[in-house]
Amino acid sequence: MSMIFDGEFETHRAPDELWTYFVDPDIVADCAPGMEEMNRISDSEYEATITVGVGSVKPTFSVDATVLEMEEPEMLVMKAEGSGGRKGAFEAVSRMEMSESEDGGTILQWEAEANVSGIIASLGQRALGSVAERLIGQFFDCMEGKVEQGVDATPRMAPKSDAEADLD
Amino acid sequence: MSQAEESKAERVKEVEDHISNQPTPQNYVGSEVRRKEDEKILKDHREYVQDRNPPDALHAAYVRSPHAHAEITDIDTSAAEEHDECKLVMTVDDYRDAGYAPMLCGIQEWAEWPLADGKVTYVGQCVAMVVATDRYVAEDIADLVEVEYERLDPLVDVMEARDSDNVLYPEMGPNAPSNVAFDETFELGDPDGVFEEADHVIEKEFDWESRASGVPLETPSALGTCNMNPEDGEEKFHVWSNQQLHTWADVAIYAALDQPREEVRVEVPLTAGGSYGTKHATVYRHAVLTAVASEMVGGNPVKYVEDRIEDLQGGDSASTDRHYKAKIAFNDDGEILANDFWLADNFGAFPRFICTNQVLKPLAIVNGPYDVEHARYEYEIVCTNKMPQTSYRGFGTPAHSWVWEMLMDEAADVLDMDPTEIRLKNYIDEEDMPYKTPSANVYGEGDYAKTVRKVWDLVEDEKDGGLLDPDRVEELREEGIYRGSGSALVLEPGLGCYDYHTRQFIPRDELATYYTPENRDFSDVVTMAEPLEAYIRTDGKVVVKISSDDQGQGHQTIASQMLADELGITPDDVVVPQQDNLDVASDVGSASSRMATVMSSAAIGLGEKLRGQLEELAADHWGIDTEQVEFDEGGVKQLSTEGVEPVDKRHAERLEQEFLTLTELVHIDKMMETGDSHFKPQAELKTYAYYEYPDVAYENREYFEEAMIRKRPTYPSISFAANVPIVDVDVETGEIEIQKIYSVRDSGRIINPMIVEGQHHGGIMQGIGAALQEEFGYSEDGQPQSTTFFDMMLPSIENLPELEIEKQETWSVFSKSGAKGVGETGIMDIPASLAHSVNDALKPLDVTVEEMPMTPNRVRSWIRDAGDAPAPADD
Repeated sequence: MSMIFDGEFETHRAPDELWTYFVDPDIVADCAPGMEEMNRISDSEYEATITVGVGSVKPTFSVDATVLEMEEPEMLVMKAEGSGGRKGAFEAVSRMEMSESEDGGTILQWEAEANVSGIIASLGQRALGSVAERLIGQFFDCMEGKVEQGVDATPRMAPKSDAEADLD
Repeated sequence: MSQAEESKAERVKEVEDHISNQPTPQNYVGSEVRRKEDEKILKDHREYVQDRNPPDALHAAYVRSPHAHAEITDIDTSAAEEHDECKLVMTVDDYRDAGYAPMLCGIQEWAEWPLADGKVTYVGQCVAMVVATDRYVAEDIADLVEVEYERLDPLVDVMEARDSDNVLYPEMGPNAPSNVAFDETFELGDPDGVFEEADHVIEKEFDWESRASGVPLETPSALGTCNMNPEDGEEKFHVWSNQQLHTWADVAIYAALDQPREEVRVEVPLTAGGSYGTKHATVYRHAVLTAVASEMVGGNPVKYVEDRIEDLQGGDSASTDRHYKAKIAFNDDGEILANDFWLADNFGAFPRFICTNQVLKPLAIVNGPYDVEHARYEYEIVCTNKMPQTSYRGFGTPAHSWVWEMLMDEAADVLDMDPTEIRLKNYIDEEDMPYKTPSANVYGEGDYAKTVRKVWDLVEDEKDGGLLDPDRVEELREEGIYRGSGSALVLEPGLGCYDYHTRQFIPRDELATYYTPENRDFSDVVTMAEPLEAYIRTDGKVVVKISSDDQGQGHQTIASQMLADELGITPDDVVVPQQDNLDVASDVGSASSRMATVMSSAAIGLGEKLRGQLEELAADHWGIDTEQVEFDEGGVKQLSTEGVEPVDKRHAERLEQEFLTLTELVHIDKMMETGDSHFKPQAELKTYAYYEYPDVAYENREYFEEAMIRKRPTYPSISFAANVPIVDVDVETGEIEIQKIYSVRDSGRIINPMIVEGQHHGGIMQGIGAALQEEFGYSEDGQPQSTTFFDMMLPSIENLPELEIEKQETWSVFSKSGAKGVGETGIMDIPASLAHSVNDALKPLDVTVEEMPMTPNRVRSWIRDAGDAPAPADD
C-alpha cells in the first residue's frame, strides 16, 4: 500500500545550526521513537531495530537505512527498508528540506513516500497516518530539545554514491 | 396427458404409496422434529480442533508473505533454528526433498506447492512453517526467519491481468504464458442468428468483485500425526481437521502426502459449524503440512489453527469476484430470445481444486427461470495477486442470477413494460416441465408464474395503508427515502452431478471432439451414488453410518426421521455418529443440498432393504415363508403359520412368539443356530445393510444423458424462491434498509420444516450480507484491506428484517424422497431480489444497479453520477 506523509515545522534556530544535529547519527538515533538499537555500517548506511505500535499491532522492524542525498544545510534524503516478520514490511524514501524564515529561524518541510505491506498495511491502515505524524512530531521535538540544550553534535553522515531514490 | 405429465403423476403416486405403506405409527418426516444436534451445540459440548490437545503436541506457525507479488531471493532460517524451543523450520525445499507432492489445483497442468516456491503471489501466502513447543513461541520464532524479497508489480484488476505480460505463473496451464488460467465458450443453439434478428438487444457490464465469505466459527485447522512405527493395519498418518467433504476430498490430503488412501485417516469434528465451501480450498494445506511436520519431528502431533486475521488476509476464504459483459435479445412484445454472458472471474493467485467449477455451475441455469432457447456462455478464470478464491455457498450462481434480473429490469425499461409483467411473460411454463435448458440440464417441476403471483398476493395488503401505500411512499420520497419493491424468482440448483467436476482437467480440444454423443458412451460418465449403511445394535437401536461430513446441517435429525418412518421406530432409536474417511464409502459430502435430496433418498432405499432382510430373518427363524411375515412398527410380525408343522418343541415355542422386535431380531441374527454366541461376519448379517442410492441424473438418463456425455453440469434438483423485498434507499447517505421481505420458497418435499426455516433465515442473512455490505477490499497494490471484522462487515441479527415466508412444496420428480433441498437457499436468490427492488426504488432517479455489493458509498456515487439527483447540502 503506497502512502505519502508530509509536514512542516518551524523553529527560531537557523538552518545551519540545526544541520549538524540532523547529520549526527547518534543524535538521530537518540531521538528516533522506538529505537532499540542502531549500528553504523558506514557513514551512509545504518542498521537499526525499531519497535512501534500501529493500531493494535506492535511490530519490531529490522531497518536498513541509507543516506541518499545531502546538501548542507538544506536537504537530506534517506531511504529505509524495514522488515517486521509476520507483521509486515515497509520501504520508505524521506526528504527533508530546510529554508530560512523571515525572522532568521528555519522552516523545515518533510515528505515521505512509503510502501507498506502485510498486516500493518491492512490492520493499521486507519492508524498509520496519525501514528506516523505523532512519531515524527516526537522526533522533531526531541531534536529541537537537543539543539536547545546545546548538546554536542558531530556531523558524520555522508550520501551513498550510487544509491537511487526510487522505491522498488 | 402428455408424457411429462404422466411421468410426474406416476412419480407422485409412487411416493404417496411409499408413505402410506410405511410401518410408522406417525410420520416423523414432514414434522417439526427437534434437531438432535442443537442441545450439544448450544451447550458448547462440541470438540473443535482447538480443543484437542495431545500432551506431546507441538504447535505450528507460518511465515507468511507481506507482499502481493515478489520474488523470494533468500530464506535464512538459521536464527530461527538456533532458538532453544524451535523443533522445525520447513521451507518448500524441505518439503520437496522429503518426497511430498504438490497440492491439487482446479485445472490441468497446474500445480501448487503448499509453501511458496521461489515467489509469492498474494499477501498471506505461506512461505515457511515453524514448529515449536507452543504457538506463542512458534510465532516468535517465525519472526526470526529472514526472507528476502524482490518486489514485482502486483496485479489486482481482472481486466488488466487478463491482457498483461506480467504473468504470475508463466509455465502453468493450457494457455501458458497467460494469467487466463482456463477459458471456454459454449454456443448453445444459434445465439448469433437470434441476436441479429431480434427487435432489441441490450448489452451491459456488471461488476461483482467484492467477494463474500461464510467466515466459519472455527477457521481452517488441523492436527496432524505421523505414526512412526505403525503396527499392521494402523495408518501412517492421522489427521484431525475441519476439512469439508472429507470422505471424497481427502484425496487432496493423501495425494499431496504421496500415500495410498488407506494410510491417511481423516477425522473431522462433528457439527463444528459452517463450512459453506469456505474450507474447500485451504484446509488441506494445513492438514498436509502438519502431517509432514509431524513426520519430520519424529512423530509428535503438530497442531495449527489459522487465526482470524490469517483467515481473512490469506486464507482463501472468499468468493465471488467477477466482471460481466452480458447481453440479451428480445422482441417488441417482451419475449426474451437469447442471452450471451461473458465473464472474467478473478480467481486470485491460484485456481484452486473444486472452486474453479464455480464458473461452470451457472451453465446449468444459463437461461435462469426463463424460457430461452439460445445462449452463449463464456468464462475466463483469471489469476491475479489477490488471495485465491474458495468455493462459497451458491457456488457461482448468485452473480449469474443477479445479472439476469438486472437485464430483465433493463428490458422492461426499454419496452416501458412492468418489470413483473415481462418476467411473467417469459417464465418457463409449468406445462413444459421437465424443461430442457439450452445447456441440456433439465428442470423437473415448478410453476414459476404461479409462485410469483402467490408472493404478490401476500404483499397485497401492504398497498393499502401498509408499507407500499402510495401516499406513504410519496411522503417518504419527499424526505429523501426512496422505497421500492419488486418480485424476482430465482433458482437454486442443487445435486450437481459428479462428472463435470473434472471438466477443467481435460484438454479443450478433447472437450470439443471426444465429449459428444457421437463419441462418448454414457457408461463412461463418472457418477457418485449416495452410500448409506445401518446396523441394529443389541439394544435394538439403529446405527446409521453416513458418509457425509456433518457440520450441523441436520444430518443426525434427518437420517433419524427418515429411518424412524422406514422402520416404525422413533428418531430417538436412531444413532448417527460422524465417520472417518476410512470407515465409510466415499461420498461427495455436504454440498449441493445432498443431505435433503440424496441422503434422504438413500435412507428410503436403506429402509426398504433392511425391512426385507429382517422379514427374511424372521421367516427363517419361524421356519415359514417370507410371504407369511410382514414388517410392522419396530419389528416383524407373523401373518400366518398355515401349512407349517413344528418340527420340534423349540420350533413350536418360536412359532408362538408372533412378533419379533428389533432387539430380538438382532439376537437371533448374531447367535448361531447352535446357541453359541459366535458373531457372523458383517456381510452375513441380516440386521446390517449397505445401500447405494444411484446418481440421480444418471438414473434419469432420458433427461440428462446429453449434458452428462458432454461433461456439462447437470443439477436435477431445482429449488426456487420468489421474493418481494421492500427496501428503503436513503438518497443522501446511500444506505439501504430492508423493511420486510416477502418470500414464497419452494424446496420440494420438506423433511423437517424447522430445519428448512432455519436454513432460510441463515441463507437470507448471508444473501443480505453479500448484497449490501460484505467486501474483501484490496488496495491497488494488492494489500488486503479487510482483515478484521471491523472492515469485513458480517451481517448480524440487526440486519435481518422482518421475514414473511411461505413454504411451498413442489416435490422433485427426479429424487426418490421428493426433496430438493435448501443447502444454498437465500444467498442464491436474495442478492438478485434486493437489487431488483433497489432498481425499483431508484427508478425516479434513473439509477440502476450495475455493481455489487450495494454499499452506501457505491449507492451514493450512482446517485451523484445520475446528475439531477437531490444532493445533500454538503455533497
